[in-house]
Amino acid sequence: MYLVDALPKEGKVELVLSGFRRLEVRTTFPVYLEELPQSVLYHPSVASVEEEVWRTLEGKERRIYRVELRDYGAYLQFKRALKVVNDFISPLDQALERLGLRPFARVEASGNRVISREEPGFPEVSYAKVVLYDWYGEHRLGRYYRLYYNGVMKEEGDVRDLRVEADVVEAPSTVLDKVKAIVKVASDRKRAPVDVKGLIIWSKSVRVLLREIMYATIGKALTVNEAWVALRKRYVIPKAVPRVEELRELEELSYADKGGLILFPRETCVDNAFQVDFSSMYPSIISKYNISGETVDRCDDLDLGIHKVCTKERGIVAEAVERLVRLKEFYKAYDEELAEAIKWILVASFGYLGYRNSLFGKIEAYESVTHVARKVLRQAIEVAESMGLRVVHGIVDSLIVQGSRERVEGMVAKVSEVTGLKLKLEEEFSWVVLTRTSEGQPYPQRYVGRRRDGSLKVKGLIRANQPRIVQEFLEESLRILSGAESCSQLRSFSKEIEDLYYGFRRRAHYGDPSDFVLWIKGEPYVRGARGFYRATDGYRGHDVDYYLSYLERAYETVRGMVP
Amino acid sequence: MMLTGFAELDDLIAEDEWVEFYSEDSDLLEEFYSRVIALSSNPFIKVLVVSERGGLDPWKVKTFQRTFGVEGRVLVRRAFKAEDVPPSVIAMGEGDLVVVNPYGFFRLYSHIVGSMRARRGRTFVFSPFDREKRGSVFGLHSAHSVIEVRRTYRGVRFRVVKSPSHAEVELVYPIQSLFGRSSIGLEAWL
Repeated sequence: MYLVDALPKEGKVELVLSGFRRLEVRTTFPVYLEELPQSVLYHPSVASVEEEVWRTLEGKERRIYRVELRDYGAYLQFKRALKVVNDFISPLDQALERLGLRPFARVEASGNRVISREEPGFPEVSYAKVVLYDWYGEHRLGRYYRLYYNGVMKEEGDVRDLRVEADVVEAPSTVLDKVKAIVKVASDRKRAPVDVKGLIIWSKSVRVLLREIMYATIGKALTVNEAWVALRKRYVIPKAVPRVEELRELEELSYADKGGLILFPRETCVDNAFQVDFSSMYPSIISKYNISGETVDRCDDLDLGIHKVCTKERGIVAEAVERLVRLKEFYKAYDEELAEAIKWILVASFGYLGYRNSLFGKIEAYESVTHVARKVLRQAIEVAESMGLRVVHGIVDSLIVQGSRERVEGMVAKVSEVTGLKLKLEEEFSWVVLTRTSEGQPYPQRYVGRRRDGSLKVKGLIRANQPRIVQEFLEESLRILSGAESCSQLRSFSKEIEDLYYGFRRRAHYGDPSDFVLWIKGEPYVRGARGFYRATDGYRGHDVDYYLSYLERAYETVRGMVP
Repeated sequence: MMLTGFAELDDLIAEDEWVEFYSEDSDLLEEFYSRVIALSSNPFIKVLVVSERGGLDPWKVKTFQRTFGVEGRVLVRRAFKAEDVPPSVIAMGEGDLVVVNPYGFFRLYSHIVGSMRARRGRTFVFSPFDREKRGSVFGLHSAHSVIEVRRTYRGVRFRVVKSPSHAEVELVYPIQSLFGRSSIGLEAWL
């Protein structure tokens, strides 16, 4: 049995286990108060009060009061009336952690005792995802459903026939009444970029009940992960942390406040290229250089160029991120989808460092990371060039280089040694097309590379908000171009692309209604004679000129790729 | 010494410790405070920018410094959320201070105004919205002068909404003078 959910009760917590089984465990709920009014001592729910010494994020000692509550309702009352701290992680989750009961850990009842055992990997719980669809695509108002059970497509049919039962189910809110589950996730309320399986692994990894995290942003997930580290180190976690940036000269600010390094490629197509990537570059920098809100510019143990870092104690963010990097590596060998879910948190952890509502970050920490990242990429470029490789392109944490495979492998090893960050050989391309804007300027984030096996790596070309007809035209064009073995061969496919274009132009007149759907903020639209209308209201014709001009622009982009 | 560079306007607010400029035209206001920062930067000026992102273009300030031939230091601090504003104002210490958009998060008005009232030295506040409709009323009461900045057909207009020493006055300047590009024109040949 696995712990799927928990419900606070009077003096106890009810554990909801996989297979809809329930267990009860006696506990109180810890609530931390900055001040202790006498009324708290009279409160009937208060079981005990302890004065404890914690510290602020600035490192100053702070006395706070740990109040053990029998009734969870009292916490909500305290939260409104008193200065409660350390509740970014709910007292329910803290009580569970104290009992050794972590979300999605294996739980066994032995007499009066409940024993929990954490297992690596994905828990043995049943999970399902319901997707509704219609002629325009997947949408909560669709009339048909597809049911994925434990990640495998199980059935599809009319939405009126839908019935599903599992421990955790993700479904559009319009059909949640047809679902029996311990935790029901309304997919249209979800803000996380992962599906139900990813949410389960988030809940397990950051040790917070799924119910509390299912509608949260990535920011909440990663801050919870950091908050556990802060609680263990006995830092008081306030609701908001006022930050005072250091006073800086204008020139200093212009120099420091920059993003990652991006090279503007000169060529439009190169043969025999390799792509090398730093593995989790920003999280690795945070971890390696101990970057965290409370370590940057606190003392001058380590000079990063624009800011100094204190290394006397491991930083909260650095420690939290390091744990996630390890988890991601573990899941990568086990299940790519789980690694991807953790990767989302890692990707956000850097940006969140400089976000105004970040509890454990600050702008100087953010600047330090981008500064080191730029330095590291420049070092990598220098090493590559010193080894006779030609650097064609570079974006933040990856480079495209030309040269022999042996040299590239040598460069990868040397850069990893010089920078202390893991560089890996990601791709080997027969050719890479580096596109340009319609004004002829380089477009660094949009490129297409052909792997040796004929498959393509496409970045920034096919977007979610393009009409389906345009997406298909681009996909088909790229499939044709993938037949080329070198840049010079690309030209020979011009005629084929042109024929394809004219075929799609005809389709712009007489195509299927689904060809004209484009998605804006999760809603399907069609461009009609009087502007855009919602596809969910039914197909009411389309504006042929709009789709023709869109296709023409896409065709120009593809033509621009042929040297 | 803080200056707007418009002689009549500078005379009008010369005695005021706390002056608030506001405009619904945020682009115009940005040009104006970049100019004020540049003109006031000799020997140095402290600036607090309250914004989640952006708010001050260093190159624009540099351009104005070059245009007006001012050499000086601009010391900048940023506040990214409402809670950051009061401690950041306090950390600025005494002396002249430019605060860009202090009420921009539309929260904690009393704390923010309180921190600005407590400081010693001149404070110029720039708010990119209509202060007669939005923002801190306490701030409006506390400011000695409140001046609306508006773009006219060919110029920029300053309307003194509140002043301890003057009635409602309007000053209009050609737009080129905002950028330090005005000249006396053909009068030079007279």
